[in-house]
Amino acid sequence: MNIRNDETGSCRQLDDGTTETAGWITVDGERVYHVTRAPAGTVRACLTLCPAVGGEFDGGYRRQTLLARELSAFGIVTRRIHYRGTGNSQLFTDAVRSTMIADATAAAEDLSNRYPDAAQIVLGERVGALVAAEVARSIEADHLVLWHPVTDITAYVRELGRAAKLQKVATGRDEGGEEVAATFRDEYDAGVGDLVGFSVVRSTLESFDGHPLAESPPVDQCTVDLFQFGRKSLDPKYRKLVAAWEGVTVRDHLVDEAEIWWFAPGPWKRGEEGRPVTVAVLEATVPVIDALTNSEAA
Amino acid sequence: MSTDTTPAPGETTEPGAARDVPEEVPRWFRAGDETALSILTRPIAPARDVGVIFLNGGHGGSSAGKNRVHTRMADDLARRGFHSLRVEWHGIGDSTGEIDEFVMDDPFVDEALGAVQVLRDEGISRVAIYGECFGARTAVVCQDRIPELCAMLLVTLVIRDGALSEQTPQRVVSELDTGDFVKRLDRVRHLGDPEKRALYIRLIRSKSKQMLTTAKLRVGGSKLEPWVSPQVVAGLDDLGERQIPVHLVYGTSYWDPHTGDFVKIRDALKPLGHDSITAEILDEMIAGYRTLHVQDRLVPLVGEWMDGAVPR
Repeated sequence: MNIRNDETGSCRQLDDGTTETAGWITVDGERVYHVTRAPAGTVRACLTLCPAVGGEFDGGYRRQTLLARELSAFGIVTRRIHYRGTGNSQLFTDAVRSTMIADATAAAEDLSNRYPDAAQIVLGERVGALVAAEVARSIEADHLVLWHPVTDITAYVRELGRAAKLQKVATGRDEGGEEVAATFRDEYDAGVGDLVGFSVVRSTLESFDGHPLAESPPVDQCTVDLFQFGRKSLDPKYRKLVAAWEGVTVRDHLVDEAEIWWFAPGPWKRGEEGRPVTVAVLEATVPVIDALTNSEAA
Repeated sequence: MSTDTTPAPGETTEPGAARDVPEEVPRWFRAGDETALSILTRPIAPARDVGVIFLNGGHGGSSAGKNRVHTRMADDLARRGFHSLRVEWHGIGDSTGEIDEFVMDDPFVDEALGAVQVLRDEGISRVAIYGECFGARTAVVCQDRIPELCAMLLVTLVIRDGALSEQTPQRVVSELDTGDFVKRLDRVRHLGDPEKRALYIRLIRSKSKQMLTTAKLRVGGSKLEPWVSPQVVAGLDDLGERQIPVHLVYGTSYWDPHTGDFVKIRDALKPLGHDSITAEILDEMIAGYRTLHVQDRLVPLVGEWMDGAVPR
């Protein structure tokens, strides 16, 4: 394995020629952090991953790394980003819908320019789905993959309010669940709610108001694969989405294992590689993405 | 006076607005059999020739730290003239390898020493460490292999050995005197269950070890509790002998029993007699950065302490 460092980033090349590059994309003069995994041989497809936010971003991070590493064996480049205002990206900008879409679009367009003959896939996780659907439209992607997508931000905010009640269990706060939930609501109304030490930024979530997923249908021949975690039948909200996207090929995939999202544990008890939900999601997703690009190659 | 200049999450600035940001570059580096990813941040203020290494606790995510708290700390340090390097342990973020469990007395020394080499390659001649929980233990264990070490800020340094999941059974064992412990063996049930059986065996071994260690300590004239890690005692003592400034920070909450451990042994912990080692307990849920408030408090605390401990 070789490591190449310069002022733009750092790249490690494995013995089989696969590369993993960490670096920056510049959008509006600001830094967007990315890690890009590229296979050694022919590139069949490029996948741009639009992550979730807050605790769901941190909790799902390693799973995305593992996905990228698995996909490279199938000739697929995977690029993961941190939106500006999150993670390692620009510090002094709040992530809002427009900046998140701009960041992911720039990342995807850059890949598309580098690999013009490859199929383009966009994957969105949770709130990232609201971003991914717009990016897929803008770059005219071939495939859109959604991991347990948020379909409507208002419902998502309500969901976070319910999660706030569970903080007593998760953090050992002395107050009761209702009190903690009330504090969370007050803090969120004032700008930033505290959910187990993760920022729930009102301006970020409110920027998605009026932009439900149903209003970002894929264009042209773009197909959709929707993965739902932890239920044995399709959630009514996803049924509605499929109905709203009439004419679009939407395949649903039910993953039995549930994710606990904002409360996803750190790896102090078990590595992410062994978490049942991560194992199940990767087992479900990788063959689907492989098949998507295989059929194109054929 | 707080001189934190980093924005709290939610503080809005227009995209593209002119504001100095420090240069940052990702750096892969070798760590034993694995390859770790890190982010190097360069100072905005005149450089002090000191690099601060961030060694994480057991939480996941990326080198940004939980809720990007380490990104904010790195930015604050850059404004004070420090380089810094935030490291992803093997099995975390984008680093290679897998983690089963963080075991306190089996720290990730390869990553810590690899991180020091990244700073050396950058031409930096002095190294400071900010370590949290498991990262704090790693710092204490590998300090004697870092000749250029000049300061160490340790948040929630875990005093006991073993995996985090073993800490509660350990406490149960240590809080029962031998007579009570033997009496409770009568209540042992479900010996057919392999997990239960393994737990009972661990408890009995732990109690036996504690009894032996207590006897040895008392013969040597020490009042230290038997569950105190020899790594912690030796590491802190060596740091004290080297007169390297060390600051221990603990928080309070029932979720955070490490503070209770520290309070119990503080008076008997000889290394704390060194003038260069200080400690404070903040009334916050520090372990695991469990609130935004504690994150907002720690960002300037780290910068201010490093400012004072490492003169220009």
